[in-house]
Amino acid sequence: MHKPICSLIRIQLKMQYANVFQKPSVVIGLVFGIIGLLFLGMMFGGYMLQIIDVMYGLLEPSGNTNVILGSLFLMNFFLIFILSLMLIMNTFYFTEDITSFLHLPVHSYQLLIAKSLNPLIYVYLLTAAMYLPVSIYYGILSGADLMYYVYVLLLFFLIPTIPYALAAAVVMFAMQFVNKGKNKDRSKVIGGIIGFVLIILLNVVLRLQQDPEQIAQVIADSAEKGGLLQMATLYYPPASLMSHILTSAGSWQSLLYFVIVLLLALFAGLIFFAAAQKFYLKGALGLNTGSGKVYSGKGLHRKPRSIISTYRTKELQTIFRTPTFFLQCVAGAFVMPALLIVIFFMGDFASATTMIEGISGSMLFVVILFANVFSVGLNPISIVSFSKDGQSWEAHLFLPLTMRQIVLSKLQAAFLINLLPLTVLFVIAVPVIQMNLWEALLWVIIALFVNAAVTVIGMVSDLLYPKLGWTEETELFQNRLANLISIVISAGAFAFLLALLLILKMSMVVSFIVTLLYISAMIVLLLYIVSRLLKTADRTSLSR
Amino acid sequence: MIQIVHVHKQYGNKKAVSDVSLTVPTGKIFGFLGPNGAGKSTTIKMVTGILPVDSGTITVNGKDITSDTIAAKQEFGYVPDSPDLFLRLKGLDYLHFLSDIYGIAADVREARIEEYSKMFSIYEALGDQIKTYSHGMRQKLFITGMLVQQPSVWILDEPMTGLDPKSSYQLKELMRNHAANGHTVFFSSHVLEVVEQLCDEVAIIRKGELLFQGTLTEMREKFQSDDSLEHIFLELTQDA
Repeated sequence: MHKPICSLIRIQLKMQYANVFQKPSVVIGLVFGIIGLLFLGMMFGGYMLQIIDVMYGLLEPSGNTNVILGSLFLMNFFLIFILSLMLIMNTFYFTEDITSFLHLPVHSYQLLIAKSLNPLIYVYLLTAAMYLPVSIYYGILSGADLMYYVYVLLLFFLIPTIPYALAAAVVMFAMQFVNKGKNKDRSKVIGGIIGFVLIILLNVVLRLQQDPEQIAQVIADSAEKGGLLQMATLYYPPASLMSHILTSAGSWQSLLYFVIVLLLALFAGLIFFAAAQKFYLKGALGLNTGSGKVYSGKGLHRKPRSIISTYRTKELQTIFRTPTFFLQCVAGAFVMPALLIVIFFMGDFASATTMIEGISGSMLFVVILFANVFSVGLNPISIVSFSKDGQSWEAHLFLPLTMRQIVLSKLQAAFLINLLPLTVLFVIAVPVIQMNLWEALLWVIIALFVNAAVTVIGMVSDLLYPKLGWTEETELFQNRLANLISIVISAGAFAFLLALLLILKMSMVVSFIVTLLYISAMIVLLLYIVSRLLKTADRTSLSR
Repeated sequence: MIQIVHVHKQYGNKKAVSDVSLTVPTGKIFGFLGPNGAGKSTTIKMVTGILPVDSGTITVNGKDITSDTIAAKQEFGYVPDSPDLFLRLKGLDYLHFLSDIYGIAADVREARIEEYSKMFSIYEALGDQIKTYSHGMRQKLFITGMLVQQPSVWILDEPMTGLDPKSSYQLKELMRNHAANGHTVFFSSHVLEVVEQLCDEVAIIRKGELLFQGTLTEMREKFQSDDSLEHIFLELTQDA
């Protein structure tokens, strides 16, 4: 039973991680990623511990502090469950390599245990970030003994098992009904959009409930009435069992509860096993087959197009038909303006209007410029200009296409996609800022120039750190130094311009002219860099 | 006509192609043979402009692939050994894309797409994305692409791999007709029976060096053998 699982795990590790750390760009990307995560973790952790501190103070007199742990376990369950749904759908069904395993003489559960390696790494990282700091801090506050910390560690390994196994069972059950090639892409897109909506909702909740004391008070009030722990017990009994294990650590009762939790985890494992054996193949088989429709002859006659036009169409077709590109570059394009509004205005348009009314002249210009750079700057479309071709890049080398044609077509396609977030932002900004015709025109012109500049910056970044040898499109958006380089160049170039505008406090008209000249010069310089990079790169891998 | 003159290609310390000179004449089917890793695909990739030439020259119908790249590329159609390209495009999108690049008129491309895709039994799948095609269907689509383009020089890297017997037969017939019309067909293959049936001339490469170029009769004369091509090939390419 173990042998196939071990072999499958070994091959997964080799396929995904072999040679990864030998590339300096990956190591640098990883270091920056870890620093970023630590920074975020410290911010979030500090925020969480502040809540725990206040809650502990409020609940201690009535002896209800175990509610803190109960709510922690409940929160962990929901977050791990949601994260697992997305990870499992991707790993079990949407990775291209899944078909290479289906013919092997292994049971579905063996394959899926091996396939779980990657999602479980993410799940345990989330658990470590969410659970460990709070439970350890609670232990310090309550003056817990050694057994408490032993149980904290043991529960750390058990916590993700139940939500992960349940999420896997739900996905496997649902996926048996969407076993067609076309539906595969569609469900991937729907799953991704749900993910984006959750991110925005989470931001809205965080923005609306900013005061930790207020949050702590709400939870404490609910706990005083017995509501929260009851809810935890009702929806997810292991949450209250786990909190009892920690609050009465060292007693026989806690050992008994621990055995029960262990049995529940085993039971979840059995559900995983049963779902894998019964449902998995029904959903996984036939995922890469055609639509089954017979071609009717539609579109056979088509007017010839210029090379740039046909290449641009090919680029757009690839982006819209590849779920990962669609999610990251098209659906994601709507997220940035939405986040911008949530972060700065929290949906309170009235106060936003008042705030904007106070801004005039070059300051309004700065706001317009910043909003446009922010909304377009984070869209990764141009950062994958060349890399998204993957092995199809080879075709560019034998087809009679000049580099100029390729670059222009790719820039046009990325420019068009980047118009989406700019349009969304513009449509929202018109009523909020109550722009007059002149201001609206100004906005549009700046948006177009910013778009062009950021698009070329993305292309330069992609050429500096190209990645044609991917096996999964998602690899293009994870741990890539090109993303970081693009953000750094965009931020640096536009921060300089913004600083210049703020310091010189020029009139709107002068600011406008200076900005256009600055961006134009930047575009010319960047296009020159693109041509140099293409000339000096190895033509098959684009690397230098 | 394809002319390869004193071409070298090196990967690090390893010589992939060493001083290869070869002429692929018009009006003939030319087979390019060699064991795995002999330098066949590297040579073909240099001819098609995918790989740069370290030294030497390659011309296609008199146009230099290094200095007159685009004009040289207009002269040939290429079917790669692994047709896993543009997987997110539909079959029809790919054929239109290719037709636009080679400037094929609307009515001409329409007739050719219909004729050749029906000939290779992929017409019904033209509305599907290439990623859903089997290896054989992808191969047929790329062959169809080349036929829609109708260039004077055909370069095919292992074109029979994955083809069903009917498609394989049709491709062989098309190759014969193309050569008979005074054009060039240059292809690599492992299937020696096909080479024996089809080729007017062959070249054999081993470890990056050209061992022989000529007709099959010349080969038998040179090696004083009445054996099959398979036998001669095995003798020539053995590692002794």
